[in-house]
Amino acid sequence: MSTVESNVADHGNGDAAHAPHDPHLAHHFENPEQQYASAKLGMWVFLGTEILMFGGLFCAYSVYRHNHPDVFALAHEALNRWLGAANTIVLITSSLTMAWGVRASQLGSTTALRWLLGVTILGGYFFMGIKAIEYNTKWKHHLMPGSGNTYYAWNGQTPVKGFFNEEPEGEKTAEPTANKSEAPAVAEKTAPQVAAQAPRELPPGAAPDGNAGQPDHAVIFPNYQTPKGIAAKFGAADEQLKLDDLNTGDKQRLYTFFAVYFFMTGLHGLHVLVGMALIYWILLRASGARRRLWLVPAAPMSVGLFLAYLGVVCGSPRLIAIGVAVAAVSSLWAVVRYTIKAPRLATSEGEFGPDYYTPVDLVGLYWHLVDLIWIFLFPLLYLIH
Amino acid sequence: MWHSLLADPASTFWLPIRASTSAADNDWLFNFILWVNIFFSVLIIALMVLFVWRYRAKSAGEHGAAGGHNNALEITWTVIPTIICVMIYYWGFKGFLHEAVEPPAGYDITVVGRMWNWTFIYPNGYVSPDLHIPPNKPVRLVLQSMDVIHSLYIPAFRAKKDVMPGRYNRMWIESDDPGTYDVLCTAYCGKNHSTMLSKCVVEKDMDSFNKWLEDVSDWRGKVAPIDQGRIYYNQRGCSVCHNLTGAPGGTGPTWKDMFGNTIPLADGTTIIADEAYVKESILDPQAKIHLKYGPPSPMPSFKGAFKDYDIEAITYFMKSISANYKGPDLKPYTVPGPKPTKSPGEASATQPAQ
Amino acid sequence: MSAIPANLAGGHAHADDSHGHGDNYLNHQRGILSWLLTLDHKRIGLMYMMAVLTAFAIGGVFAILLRTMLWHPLPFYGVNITPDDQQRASTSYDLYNHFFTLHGAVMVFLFMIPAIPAILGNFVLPMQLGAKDVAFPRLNLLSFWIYVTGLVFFLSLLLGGVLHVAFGINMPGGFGLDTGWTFYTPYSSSHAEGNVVAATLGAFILGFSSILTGVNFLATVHMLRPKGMTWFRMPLFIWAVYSTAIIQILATPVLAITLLLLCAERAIGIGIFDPRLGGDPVLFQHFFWFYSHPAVYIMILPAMGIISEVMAAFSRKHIFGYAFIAFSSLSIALLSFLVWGHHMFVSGQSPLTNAVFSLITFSVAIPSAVKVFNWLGTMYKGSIRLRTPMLWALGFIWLFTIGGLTGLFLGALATDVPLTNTLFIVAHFHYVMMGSTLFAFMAGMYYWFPKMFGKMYDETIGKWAFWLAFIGFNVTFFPQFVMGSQGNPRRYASYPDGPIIHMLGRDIPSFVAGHRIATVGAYTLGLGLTLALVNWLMALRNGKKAAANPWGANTLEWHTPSPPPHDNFSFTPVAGDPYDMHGWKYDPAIDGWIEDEQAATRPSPAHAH
Repeated sequence: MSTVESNVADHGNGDAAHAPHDPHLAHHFENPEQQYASAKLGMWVFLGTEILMFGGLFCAYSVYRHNHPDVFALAHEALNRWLGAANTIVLITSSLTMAWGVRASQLGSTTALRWLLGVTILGGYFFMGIKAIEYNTKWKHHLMPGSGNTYYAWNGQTPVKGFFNEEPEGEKTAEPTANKSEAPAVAEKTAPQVAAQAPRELPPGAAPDGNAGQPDHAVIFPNYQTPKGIAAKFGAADEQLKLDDLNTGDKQRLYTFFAVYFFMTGLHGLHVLVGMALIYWILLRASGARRRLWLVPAAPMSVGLFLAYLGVVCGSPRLIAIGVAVAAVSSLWAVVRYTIKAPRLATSEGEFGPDYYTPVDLVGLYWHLVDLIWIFLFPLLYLIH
Repeated sequence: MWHSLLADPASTFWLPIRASTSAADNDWLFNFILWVNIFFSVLIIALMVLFVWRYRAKSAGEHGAAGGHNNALEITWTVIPTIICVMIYYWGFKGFLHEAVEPPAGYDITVVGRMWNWTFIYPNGYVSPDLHIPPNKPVRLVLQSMDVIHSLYIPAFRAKKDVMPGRYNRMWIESDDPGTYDVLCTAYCGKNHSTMLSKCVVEKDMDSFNKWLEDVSDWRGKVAPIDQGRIYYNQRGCSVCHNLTGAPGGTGPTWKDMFGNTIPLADGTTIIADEAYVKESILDPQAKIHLKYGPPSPMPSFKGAFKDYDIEAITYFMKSISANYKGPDLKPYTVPGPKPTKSPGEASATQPAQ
Repeated sequence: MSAIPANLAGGHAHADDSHGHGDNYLNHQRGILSWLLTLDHKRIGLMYMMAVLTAFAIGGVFAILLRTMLWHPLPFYGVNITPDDQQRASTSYDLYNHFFTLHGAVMVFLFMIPAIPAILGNFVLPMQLGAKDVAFPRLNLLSFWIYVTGLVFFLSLLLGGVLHVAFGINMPGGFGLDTGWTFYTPYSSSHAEGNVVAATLGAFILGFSSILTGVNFLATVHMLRPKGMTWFRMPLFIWAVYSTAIIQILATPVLAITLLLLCAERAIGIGIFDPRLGGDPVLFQHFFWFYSHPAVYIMILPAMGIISEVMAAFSRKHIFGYAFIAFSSLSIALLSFLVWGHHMFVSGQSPLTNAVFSLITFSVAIPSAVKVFNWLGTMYKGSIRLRTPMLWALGFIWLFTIGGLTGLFLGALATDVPLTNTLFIVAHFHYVMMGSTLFAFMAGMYYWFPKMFGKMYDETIGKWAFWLAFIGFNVTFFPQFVMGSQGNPRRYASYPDGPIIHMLGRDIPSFVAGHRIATVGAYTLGLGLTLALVNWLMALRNGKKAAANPWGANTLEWHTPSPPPHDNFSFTPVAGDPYDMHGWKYDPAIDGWIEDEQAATRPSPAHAH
């Protein structure tokens, strides 16, 4: 083991022979400026790849929005734009504190840096908390992505009661089984409607002698059959779009919106979590805590995450909630302690100052990217109709 | 115009037998590119071998000659490939445009791909496992898939198009060479992808094509007339205007209890709906028009679309749903074992002997 | 500017002293962990070599297996097979489908994409730049372990397949992989029986490894060039790896999101790609090829870089048309993003789209042609030595010429229609991707082998390996051009007899003959590559000691001892013209080249032009 540690130290903290002055200068760089410029270049390029990755998602979003405008016009009503707006404000604020923190580290004011980082992480908690509330609401209304979604059942041409056509009161907490039991009755009514939507080129009942079957599931709805006018009318007259305004094909695709919503916000949420972890790491280094103590909050966090995992395995939402809460509270507690710099933790002044603030800068860039992506996601998913 | 250069449609070392009107142009381009390929491969490889031999090292410590670049030479060998590429691009695009633009007055066949067979649906509703086409007539294929992506490929026609689920693709083919050709699937579609084969039979002329279609579409002796009548009701668009429930309204009168009933006509008279009335109304809808549905009658004439025995089948079907029909009980019967639609004993890679 | 800066001579003399008994990167630290957790780019390169060659062996075994299955058309085949026959056939057909999918996926994601950048790029690039390491050594180690994680995912597919076939145990999520390496929806999302989730996650993870390597190399090339190395004094291998890094950075994220979406589609049915759920399968193809076409150039560009190095070194002549080659690398990298649609000419996209993609496709052909002519120009009036690396490089030119020229058939819209998705395509992309990349990889391996291990390989066995592989390759894939244009589709477990040819007084079904020739060729190719591996292992055991510069090349890695010290250089390297080799003279005593003291004062002939 000792060889490894020396190996890492040799590279990571610089060879004494090469760089006697700066403990942060790696052996293969000539001077701190070159190292800083390299790190910054690498980070910018990496952020570029992140944007390209989300770019793919935005592209998929555009294609679906273009093909099924009505779906998006109706389905985005299920999102709470006030919660989205709150989250936007939270993220922008935390971006501000992050940028301020970078400046503080450049100026060498370590106390300000700690507090600003703490506030930034709190912003992350706030954001994720609101996100959890939103996700929870969707889950209760059976608007989750994939086959669990209420509207997924429309694909089997079996409409069920869902968010947009359910009774205003009392129905919202109904069990999914209760919803599905009503399905056959409704199915009778809409079946002819589905047949009427079938494209004309398809010879109806083209299976006289068993040589060929009916198209068993791949019902074809060419794009030109989508009446795109409804969405336009809706936008112009500022009038509430109803579920019944959608044609059958679009009704069947309602749940795709939620797939897109969960996929985009979920991937973004993952980035927020990674960003929070990175800021936490910066905060630890900024507070000058002893490295051995870094692991102390990790114990309750691990317990919490394990509980959440157990909850997933056992299918117990309550256990998941408890686990996540334990992890969140314990990490929050740690953040507060490092921010106010509890005397027992600190051994030094912290690592960052005017001579060395590269990690703060890079993590700051990452956090701004996360913020930027949300600024695109919010109007695309919550606002546009 | 290139046909004269490649008069022989038989298979060559590189290309399979050629049987469509656009294949000759295609083959001309193929052969042109082939010769470009051969010329440049031989040139480059010969120069390579020549240099290796001519400039082999004479001693261990020898250095090569000086000289790092020559702009004129480099520009030359940039420009020449560019010109050749533009030429090939142009011919390729021209040929493709010819294949992409559907000629008018085509014959329509719907192609359905599924794991793992092809079916071809003819305008009269007949569903065939093999593709039969008339010669010297552009045939438009409308492609649709029931499950995954397939790709219809007929090597002899140099024709291929993906069969996409959820959308219609179109292609057209025109063959001038009667015979039997392979039809293959070229988009990987799972386990038995390599058995997703069929064959394309180009009939001798339009008459023999029509005769083939007539023969295979003849349902007599295989299906009960009453069943065939129901199939026609569903298939030929009768169901669009005539319902079987007796509900009022619609574009045409209901068929429930119609046969044997007294029909009020637009000219003020009435008529009993018997076999003669049904047949006349199918062939010439304007002759005796129902009081509530005309004049003129919105119904199109089905003259030529139905044979006498087809109309008979429809009549049987109408009888079976009419309380006004007074005759023997019409129990639908079925013939055990439908006639095999695949002709046995054909080899897999059947191509006409040349 | 003199060919060799004066201060190199001293440094080199010192390096020669330490050779053999001194400290080098191989013995700098000991213990397994000093390898697994190393931050040294050279050791990471060697670890990549172990992992990537393992993957290559797995992919190769699948290739041999599937070619063996094609020795004879599988039974139950033909137009008139009954459903019963289909049922019986499907077992063996199924096996074949798993074989070709795993062959393709393993070769593309685990061998072709990482082979040259990750092994040779890692080992050589910092040294050619005169740097001590890549810009981010920890990130480099991280990419390696990410690669290994991806490898484990693919191994789990393999394990699942073996468990299923041998013991009838079904792993959760499916066994093996039967989608084709392209993962086309909706087959992959809702019909395949293979473990698509594991495969897409594996490829996603490998993509991350690729992105991080690209970021690392890009920053290294930008930031760590030494004194005297302007952009146009960079060795062409660096230009090639730099262009590759751009593609990796720009294209791979799109693949990443595509695979994530496919994974979600398969796992919970989100309805993006599956038409049954309202999705669009063509969107998947656009996304997939937006990455996977540039990925072809991730494979070929570094290969071209190696060829430029080897051609110059073994012709002992300045590379011809340096600027043209450098710019053609860049232009290929940029154009590669604009041609993805040519994979979908028959998918039903609009003729206008096809026309545009076809035109841009042809424009990629030109920089490729320019490179080939420039390599010929380098050989002209050179002093050519047919050592093993040069043989592989010449083999590359042969295969790349044929592979590239046959691309003209496929770029032209009219001829692409009948040829696409047949064995013609298979032959074409094996000539370009597999033949060219593999041969360049082998050229590079032989070229830098003495530098990596300080040992010389056996020249005779090396040449035998080359000839077996070269002949085997052509015998395997050339018949596939003919069978493809004759109409044999790709990914067919069985095949029709094909046109009957009359030969030796017998009627021979041509497809049967073609497939058998190809199978013989595949075995020959496998034998040749195995021999090369044996060659290396023998050299490691009892190879002759290699000189610091056995070839007399002038890029910076040859200025340091073989194997190099831990910090690469014991002096501060200053770069000159990387292809001016007049500063070296041959020393028969060490069978290598040493600095020529007089050359430093002589005006270099290369600068006479």
